[in-house]
Amino acid sequence: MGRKVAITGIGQTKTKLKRKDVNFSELMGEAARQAIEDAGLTIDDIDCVICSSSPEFFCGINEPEMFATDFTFGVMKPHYRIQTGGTVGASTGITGWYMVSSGLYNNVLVISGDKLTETSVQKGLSLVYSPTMGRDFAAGAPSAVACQTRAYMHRAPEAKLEHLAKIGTQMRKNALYNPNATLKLPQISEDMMMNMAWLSTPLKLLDSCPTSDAACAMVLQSEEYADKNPRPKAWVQSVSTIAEGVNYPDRDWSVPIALKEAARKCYAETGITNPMEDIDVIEIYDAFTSQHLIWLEALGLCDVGKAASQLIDSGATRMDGKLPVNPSGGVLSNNSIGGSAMIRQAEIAMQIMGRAGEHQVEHAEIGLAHGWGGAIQFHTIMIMSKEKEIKDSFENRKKRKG
Amino acid sequence: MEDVKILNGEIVLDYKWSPGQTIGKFLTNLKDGKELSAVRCSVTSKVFLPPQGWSPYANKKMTKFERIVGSPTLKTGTIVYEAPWNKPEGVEVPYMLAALSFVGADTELLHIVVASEEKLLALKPGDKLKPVWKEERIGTIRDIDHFVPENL
Amino acid sequence: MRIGIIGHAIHIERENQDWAVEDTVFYTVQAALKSAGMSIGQIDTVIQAGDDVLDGLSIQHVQTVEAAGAFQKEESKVERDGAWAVHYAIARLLTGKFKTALVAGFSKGTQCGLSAFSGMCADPFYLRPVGADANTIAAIQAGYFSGRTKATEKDFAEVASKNRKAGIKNPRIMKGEAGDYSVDDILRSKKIASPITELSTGRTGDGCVALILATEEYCKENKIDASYITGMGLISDAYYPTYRDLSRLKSAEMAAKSAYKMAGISPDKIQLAEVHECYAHQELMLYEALGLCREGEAIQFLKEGHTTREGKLPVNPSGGVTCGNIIYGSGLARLMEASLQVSGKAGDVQVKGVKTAISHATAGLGMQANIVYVVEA
Repeated sequence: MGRKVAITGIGQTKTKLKRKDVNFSELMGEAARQAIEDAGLTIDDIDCVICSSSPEFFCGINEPEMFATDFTFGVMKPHYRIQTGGTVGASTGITGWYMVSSGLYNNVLVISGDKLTETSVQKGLSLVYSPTMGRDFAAGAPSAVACQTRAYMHRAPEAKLEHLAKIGTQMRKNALYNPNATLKLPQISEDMMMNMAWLSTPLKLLDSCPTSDAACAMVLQSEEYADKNPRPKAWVQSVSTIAEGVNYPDRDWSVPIALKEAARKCYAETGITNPMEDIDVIEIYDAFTSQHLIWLEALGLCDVGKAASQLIDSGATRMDGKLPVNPSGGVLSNNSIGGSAMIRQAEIAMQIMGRAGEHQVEHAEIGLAHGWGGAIQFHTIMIMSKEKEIKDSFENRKKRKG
Repeated sequence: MEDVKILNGEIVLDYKWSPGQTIGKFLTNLKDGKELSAVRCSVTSKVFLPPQGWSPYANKKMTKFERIVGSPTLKTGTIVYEAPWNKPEGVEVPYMLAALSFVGADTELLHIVVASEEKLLALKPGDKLKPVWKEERIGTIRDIDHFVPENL
Repeated sequence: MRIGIIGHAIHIERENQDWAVEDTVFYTVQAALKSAGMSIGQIDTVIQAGDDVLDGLSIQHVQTVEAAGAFQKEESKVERDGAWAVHYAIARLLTGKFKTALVAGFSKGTQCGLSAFSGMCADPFYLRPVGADANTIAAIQAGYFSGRTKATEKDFAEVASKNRKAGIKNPRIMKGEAGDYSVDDILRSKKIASPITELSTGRTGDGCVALILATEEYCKENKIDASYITGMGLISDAYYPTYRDLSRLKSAEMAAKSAYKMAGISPDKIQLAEVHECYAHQELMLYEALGLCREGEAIQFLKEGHTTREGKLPVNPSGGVTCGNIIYGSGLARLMEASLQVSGKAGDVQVKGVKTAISHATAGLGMQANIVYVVEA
């Protein structure tokens, strides 16, 4: 059976929209060094490196992990790349988990990031569309998500543009307390959100995420090594990486069946029966505000079609709410695509470790990190807990509430 | 009536790559000083040309720049007959991609040698070469346009 | 460790204008399932290997994930030869979460071409502007190897001739690539970048390899006569080619040692090797690096006929990559061939009595990264 795995180190590159001071390799190396130092390890301790980035059209180098090998400690080590679009960071964190849990390696370094500011991101994203089928009409990610949003609003008529504005405001307010968020808008308000220009109806400009140069890295250790490590840890309890198709007939873009399946599996594995009660903090990959409504419903946090009222209007997902979502400000406040999904995992780990500083959720015992990628078809979930055995974290919470 | 079996297309993307401090300095020195820069690893004392900011085997930052002077000798070279996708600008096949040894550097610089096929065929490891610089340099490795056999 | 290889399929041709990439993947995965007598529902996890630049598509496996049978399945994608996807698939199996895994490595090389694919791997600062691509860097590597060992173009041509001859009897190679080519034929074929000629390297084409892996437990429970991966090792080297000792393959050597250690074998136990020789000289380098012969003795080893199919240590009895390169499928094809050999299912290219074989795969300019598997009966 698989070994227990803990995240013991985290690194995130210096917060800045454009990192003109470094090339791709150096950016990745920066995060890598930070994570190793954070874990209290040396480069020699690392026995495997998974080094990833989003579609290579962004950085303009094919197999960019090869270029970055030296800087990411891959020389004379096992070192390779995962590529799953927007969720690549999470897929990479999960690959790291498999590397350790399988018994193959003990101290695995995972890195994921990108330099998005060196070329046109939307042009690169339009290349997701098949040249034979849709590329001529492609308008990057916004148009795809806009269609998804329309589809959702059609089946959940209580969801209005005002809800998107609420979500966008909530996220940017959270970001003010996250030193790693790149988009800082202290003047953000729902009015401001509503008055923004259209991006791709029904999405307005601030319903979308920024683009930046960033990399994130983590160190995952086996139980044996993690136990010897005095640093705070986050124990990984369950992982899932599910793909649904892109062109299959009767696909409902507003119902992410892959996410629902991933959630079903992870909840079963961890004994989570009522996510709203059982989970303390969630980081979802919210490239667009509307995705809060869609992902949170798929994660089983509300009744079908009722995310707007039960989660947003109710304030349940606010920092002072029942189940804070994206205390970091989410992808809406910091997006390098390559690093974004791993940052979701890193942020949850930080919450569990009690290291989230000003955006710490009190008593975060159990957290869930989510990522999506591709033609909105790859979904990943990682659930972590403070205690090595998740049941002990359930106990801790019971005691606190009781 | 022919079936459509091929869809022709291309992908054109423009980039503004950041070279970073080390590669940036190498390119700047080429442009401004017609100078080749290498970097020395403080752990192994190995001198890397062209330079990068991280020592691959010692796993340490490399910041000590060294100026490389003198003409290189040929370590080895390949005469390129079939133009690669990224054929060097302004050069026609056959030309040579060469590994060039410089005194003071422990790694060879990969660059091109342009000469007649006859002269390229006559080149042997150890032969001296000299750089031909571009009149207008912009900070790319092709600021040295190419190398030629010294005994041309 | 014992991970069973229980299904396999390959499609490989110079060009297939009837199939898009997803078709290539679909039909190959179907064939692999058929070879194992399985349905897609019995596959627990899928790891693909494909490249965006090759497909001209961002997140290329958006288009191939359904074709690979990964709909609503635990899946992921490695962006390197399928041989690395096998490593990930094995890690997944070893956790006990899954019993079976499917790996698909593929490329429609004719869509993009090897040079654009590999030229894009060259960094824009140092390598791309001087025309570094797979061919030119491999040619430089050959020069370093020759510098150390005095290997000649003729020696390289001998490797290519051996492999093209070996491929004659193999239905699993690219049609049109095998043949009774002499050393002279190889030497006189179209020059690419000295010493590489058209016939001394594998032609890039279209295809896919799909392998089905399973835990030993699953194989035993279902009474499957599988071949087993008992060891694996993978190592990367520095990026800029001359930062490495290009005359040797240190990373392949380390990867091999790692694999042999895991399998508990010494190199002299190896009866057969399938290696990823995109260029003929690389096979000679691998004789040394994989411990098949001592350093400095590669040319001798070749000349004494030890590595032909009839020799004492056949290398690439399948015909190797010389008989056709499907980029991300080529290294995976080597593992497939090695597995067929130890199972006695290699057909007309079967080497009798092989129980322990190795497969090798490579990636990156000048073979920057290498992975080795030990496959046993």
